[in-house]
Amino acid sequence: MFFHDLKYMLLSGFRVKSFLFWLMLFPILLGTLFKVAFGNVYENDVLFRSIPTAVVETSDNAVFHQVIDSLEEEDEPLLAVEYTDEDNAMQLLKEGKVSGIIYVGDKLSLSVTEQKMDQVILKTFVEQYGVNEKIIKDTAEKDPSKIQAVVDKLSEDVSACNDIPMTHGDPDIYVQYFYNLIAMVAMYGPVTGLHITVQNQANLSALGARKNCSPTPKSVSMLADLAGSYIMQSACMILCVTFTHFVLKIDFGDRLPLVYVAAVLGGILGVSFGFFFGSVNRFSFEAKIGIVMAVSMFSCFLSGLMMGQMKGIIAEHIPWLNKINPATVVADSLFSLNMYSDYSRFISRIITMLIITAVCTAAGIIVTRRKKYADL
Amino acid sequence: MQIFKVFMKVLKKRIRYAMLYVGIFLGIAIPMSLNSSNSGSTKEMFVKESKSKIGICIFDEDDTPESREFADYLAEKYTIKELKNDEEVVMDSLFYMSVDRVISINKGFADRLAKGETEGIIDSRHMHESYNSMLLEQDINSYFSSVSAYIAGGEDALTASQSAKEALTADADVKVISFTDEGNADYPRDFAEYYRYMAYILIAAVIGTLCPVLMAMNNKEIRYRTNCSSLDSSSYTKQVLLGSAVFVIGVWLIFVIAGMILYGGVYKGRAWLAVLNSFIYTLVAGSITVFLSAFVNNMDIINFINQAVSLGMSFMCGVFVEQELLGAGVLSAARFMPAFWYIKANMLLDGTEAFDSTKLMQYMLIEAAFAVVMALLTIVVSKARYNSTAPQKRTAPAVNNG
Repeated sequence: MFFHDLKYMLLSGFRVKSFLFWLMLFPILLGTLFKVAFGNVYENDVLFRSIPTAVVETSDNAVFHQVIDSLEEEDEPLLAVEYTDEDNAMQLLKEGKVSGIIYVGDKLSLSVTEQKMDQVILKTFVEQYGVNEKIIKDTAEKDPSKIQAVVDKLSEDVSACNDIPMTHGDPDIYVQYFYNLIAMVAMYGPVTGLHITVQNQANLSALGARKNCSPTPKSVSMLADLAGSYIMQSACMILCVTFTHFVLKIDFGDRLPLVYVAAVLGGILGVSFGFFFGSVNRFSFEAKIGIVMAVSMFSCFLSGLMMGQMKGIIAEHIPWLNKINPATVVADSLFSLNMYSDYSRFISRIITMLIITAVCTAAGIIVTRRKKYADL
Repeated sequence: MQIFKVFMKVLKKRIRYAMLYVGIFLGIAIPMSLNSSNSGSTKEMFVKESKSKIGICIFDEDDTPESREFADYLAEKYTIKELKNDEEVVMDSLFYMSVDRVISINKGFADRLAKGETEGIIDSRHMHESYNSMLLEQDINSYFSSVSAYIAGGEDALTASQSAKEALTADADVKVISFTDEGNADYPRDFAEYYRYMAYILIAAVIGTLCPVLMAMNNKEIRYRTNCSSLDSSSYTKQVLLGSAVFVIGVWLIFVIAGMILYGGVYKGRAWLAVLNSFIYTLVAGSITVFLSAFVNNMDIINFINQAVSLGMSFMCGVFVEQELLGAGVLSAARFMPAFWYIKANMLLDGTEAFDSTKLMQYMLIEAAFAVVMALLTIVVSKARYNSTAPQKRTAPAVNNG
């Protein structure tokens, strides 16, 4: 009887059009749109690229040339300099081909049209020149014999930061939208879970009424429905991960099987939550769906589906919330697989998922068992 | 006006859906707009502001006057964030860019500085090779270059740190040139974002609300019954279109009036052109809705199409992500969508692109052309679908209103 119930649960479940849409088609659509919109943003907007700069020399300045030459030796030089005359420089600035014009004369000055990071970096670069002049002037006033030592120091390349590598994973901040997309599909799981209770509560559906007066033990029917929901949700999670990784080419790191494990467990968590919520009250189906979707979407909002920095903001102010919010836990397990070489954070997130799933499922079963109806 | 009244009755049942969209949009747009207007948008402020927004965290393990001088120098220029010295917290903060660099000043910092050693004197962690991270590195190197120069000039490390801090406060001679005319003062970029996001909400709210109403009106049995009534079919169409127009323009007016509140009074200058642009786009939204309802009669499919059209156009045409950040291929495809031209017109008006009235007119006409094409397609589909002869064959003789 268990397998009979399971078979019909699956057959009827996969025929629900809204299920197919929200759990299969919508994630594919949203993932594709994320890819289209965010595919180039990290490279175009976040990663530093040499700042195109026009240089107009109103008088000879050998030191400036020397500095620019030394800068250009680097892999990604600070400035991509084009020496030119003023008219051409203005034209380049107008056309947006350079971010600013540095005038090299007795002093350096800067002309810009916008006030973005490019220009702030140019401004800092120009300011450093003024600072060097001031340092030499201060030294000349105090101890002129040390001017040469100061000039030598100023002409040295300084690399004060000892950079400590953080990760071998993909640091593209926009990849997290795909972690959150997978978490969103998991958080649609409660809708699948709610269907179990609807199909088993006599006051909510004709099928529920029929099941309650059938000779099949409630435990068998309930477990078959739970198993069916887990299978349906897992199929959606597998489809979502497969699509994002193999079609959209999103890099989840080199531990893809574990990505599938995390996603499937996330989906099961979602179903269990829906099962628990559906069992614990006797609201109408519409009310249950409304409340459960509001909770799920709020959970996704907190994990950064609608606003990318949300998880970071919460990590800064209420870090414990990130460790228990279901959507964040699912997204974070994928994040940790990409960013960390060890498994401690991943395992802790998986354990959290298992605990939430176990608590919700157990509570749902306890509340549902021996439920009686005065009349059907 | 029987049909119009019925239309309004059906619409009344769906109006909550539209109000939900309107409420959520205004609930998000108003705080965002107020926040951006408080952040100060004058050009001079921006240069300073963009520095202070850069977040940095400092763990000072040396805790000497020299290390405190360095920390003070950074604190004066950037936003200092307090973080727990825990790998997970640091990793999250760096990844989500709430801080751009985490600096550790190790023990022995002051001693090394006194000797003039600056190479790798501080430990630094960063995640992204970003502009912010680059600026911080450049600034930190400038600081230590200046300190070591003062030390070479005979000063002790602490005095050298103080002198360097003072020297680095000097401002560069920066001239801000504007090649575009200043006409966008009446339509600032902060406010233009409100009209940019309107491209999404108009489509989503109009399709999501109006389509089910039109579907109910177009229900095959009801439509055939209406067709064989004494009502003239052109009168029917006019009344349905009038009902649709009342709803669509009503939603548009709500957004325009709410925009006025954010704007701080009656629109001026180019802001009126933005209103006109949004009106044309509203007509496009209405025409898409009427077209969809002419051949779709399933709510699940309508929901899917609504999400696909509203989100798809918004992601591809520069509503959610600025057009300059989108790939060339995406923009080429987006040219076939009305939202692309709406955003292009909005960019002309807010000064992102040099204002050109001919181009503006051209963009608005392209938008309007989409509405015309949709209207023509609707007529073709409706003729084929509802004025077919199938029912007449069964129930002949029927009055042919088509």
